[in-house]
Amino acid sequence: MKTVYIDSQNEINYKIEEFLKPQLIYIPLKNNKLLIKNGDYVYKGDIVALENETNFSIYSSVSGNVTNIVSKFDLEGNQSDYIVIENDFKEKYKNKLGYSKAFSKYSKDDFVKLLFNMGIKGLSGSNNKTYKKYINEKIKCLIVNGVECEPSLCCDKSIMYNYSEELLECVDSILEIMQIPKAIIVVKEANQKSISNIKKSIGSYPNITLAYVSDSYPIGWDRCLIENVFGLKYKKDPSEIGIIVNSVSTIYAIYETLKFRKPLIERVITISGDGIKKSVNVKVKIGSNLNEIISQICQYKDKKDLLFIVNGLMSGISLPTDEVIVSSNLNSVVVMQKKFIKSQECINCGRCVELCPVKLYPSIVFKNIDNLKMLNKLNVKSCINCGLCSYVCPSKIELSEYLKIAKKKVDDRNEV
Amino acid sequence: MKFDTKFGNYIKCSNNTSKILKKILLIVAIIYFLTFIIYITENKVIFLFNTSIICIVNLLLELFYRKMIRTNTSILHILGNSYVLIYSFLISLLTPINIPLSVLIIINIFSYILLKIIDKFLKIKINYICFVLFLSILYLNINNININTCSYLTMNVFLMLMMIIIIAFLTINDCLKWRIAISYFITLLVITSVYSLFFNINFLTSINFIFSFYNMIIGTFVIVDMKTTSVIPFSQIIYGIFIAIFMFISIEFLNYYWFYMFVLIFNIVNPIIDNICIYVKNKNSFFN
Repeated sequence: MKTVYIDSQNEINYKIEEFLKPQLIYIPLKNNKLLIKNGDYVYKGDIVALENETNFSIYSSVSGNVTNIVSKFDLEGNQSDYIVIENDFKEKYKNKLGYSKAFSKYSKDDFVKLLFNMGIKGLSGSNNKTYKKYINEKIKCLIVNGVECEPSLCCDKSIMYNYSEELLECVDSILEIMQIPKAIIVVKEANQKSISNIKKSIGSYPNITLAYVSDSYPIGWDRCLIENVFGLKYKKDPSEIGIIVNSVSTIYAIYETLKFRKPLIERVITISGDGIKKSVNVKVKIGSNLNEIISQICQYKDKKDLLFIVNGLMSGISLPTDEVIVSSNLNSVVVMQKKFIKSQECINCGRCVELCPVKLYPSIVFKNIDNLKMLNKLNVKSCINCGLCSYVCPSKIELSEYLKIAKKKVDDRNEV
Repeated sequence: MKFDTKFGNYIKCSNNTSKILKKILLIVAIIYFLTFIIYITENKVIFLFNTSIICIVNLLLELFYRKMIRTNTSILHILGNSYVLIYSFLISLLTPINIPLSVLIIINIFSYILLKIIDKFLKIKINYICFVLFLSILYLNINNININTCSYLTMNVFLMLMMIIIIAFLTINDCLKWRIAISYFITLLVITSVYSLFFNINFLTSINFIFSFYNMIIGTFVIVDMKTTSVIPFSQIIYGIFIAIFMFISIEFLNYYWFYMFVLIFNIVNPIIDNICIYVKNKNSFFN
């Protein structure tokens, strides 16, 4: 699978700042069954909603009173309704947290139930329910994905740098609980600084090794990563070949769950770009408002024509406002000036076809965007939205956007 | 706080169409210069004059077309972002030397207009150089004029090695669909070898042509025209193989101008081959 080096010039300090005192917390109403109503008092760590189809728990990350329902933007750029909890800044838990039992005392079923009950999800942007990966009986290897190939991301690297002992302890515990023979922490060879602390302690864990990959994109994508590290391929899910992939952020969330029985209520995000005064990695509460976080921690520069991009420069989207609520699948925010060259006519160079990781034909999709019959043949639904076609196009055509449009057209047609 | 929005991704590579076209133009200019020094032994001034006129004609055509479709008409922009100069140099290099300049100008104008109409209304892309060359040689044939072929139909080891380096340079800089060039040369070599073996023909004569400067220019720039060739890798290989077969048939049994006609026919057939490749890809991942 071909990958491309992307020069992002992303120099961010690995120090993790904290913004854990938001005024208000927002719980989404869309696709969720609310368990609270206006006027209720909730404790930190209370289950406040359940996902409609799966009954997956959504927790309050603060203690306080439920006030009203407001409309804010989600990470897909859609306006949704949220119920608001006013933070009383007392951080009250209903039940005392702490060690419940030693890690090694967990059985496989206990561990899987814990991941489900504590609402642990994939924090690299996938938003998949983590417990589903551990249901599989025959797991041969756990891959801890510390690659972070998206140019604007730094949160996993900062977690590896600051919490190396915790990560290794957690991975070792997962191996013991689930009886997995080995784990591999995969990082980019260029990111030696982020794993300097891991390297000091990894010798104590004989079942955990480090593996290096090149500094390229989209090497952090599971399929590409497994092909690079093991030389193996799979059809739908890496569990088919006995491999589980978890990001570093997810492993750290599992650590807090195992150690403190803490549900998924906080995460680290990267905020960067030439539109803000300070680029940071910041630990925030899930449900807080990005506007508040950026105003307090980073502050905007006085520049015009700024873009507010969530979830990366390659595969993210730009939103019209910063009144956006932090969710578990938000990993970065980039505020940058809008300086782009106008697109030109396609010169038919074929670069997009050469580099597409799923072997699509983006330039042919672009030329046949109104031909539904052709779009059906071009297998556009396999597009993973990596953005590589748009990146490499010398004519600066937004091919990834055309692929999204094509996917939507094919979906709409199939529905009819 | 309010923000602008933009679709697509938000980081772009430093490569752009202008850089690609400038690299190709630089290489073509070097080849033109070498041809002028080594092969054009008489009427050098006329050769240069003819090239300049072809460049001006093509530039004016492109300027007029851009005015019609209301796009950027800056001459510098046209020179840096279009194939005007590249096509002009290649046409000057490859057309028979004895074709009258006036006829060549008319052929250029006619080809340009016709191909734009075919592209606009029939959505078929035709190789501009091949079309001009085909019409030029057809004119000479109709008027029973012997085609005064270029003297660079024989192999020159230095130039052959230089062309190999050029192919590598263009491939590394993403300016060439290398599969077409490589499959063309390899197929030509294989067919020639097999034919020489079976029919006891002098193999060296064929090698002389395959690696001649003229054929290497055709194999690198004429048949690998970015605009008219497929983006699908397997389709490119099929194209290279078939074009090599057509070239072999043209030089051994027909006249080599038939080769240009074969290329034009293949331009029309290309979308069908693309469709077949897409269909087969959906059934089998081998053809990726």
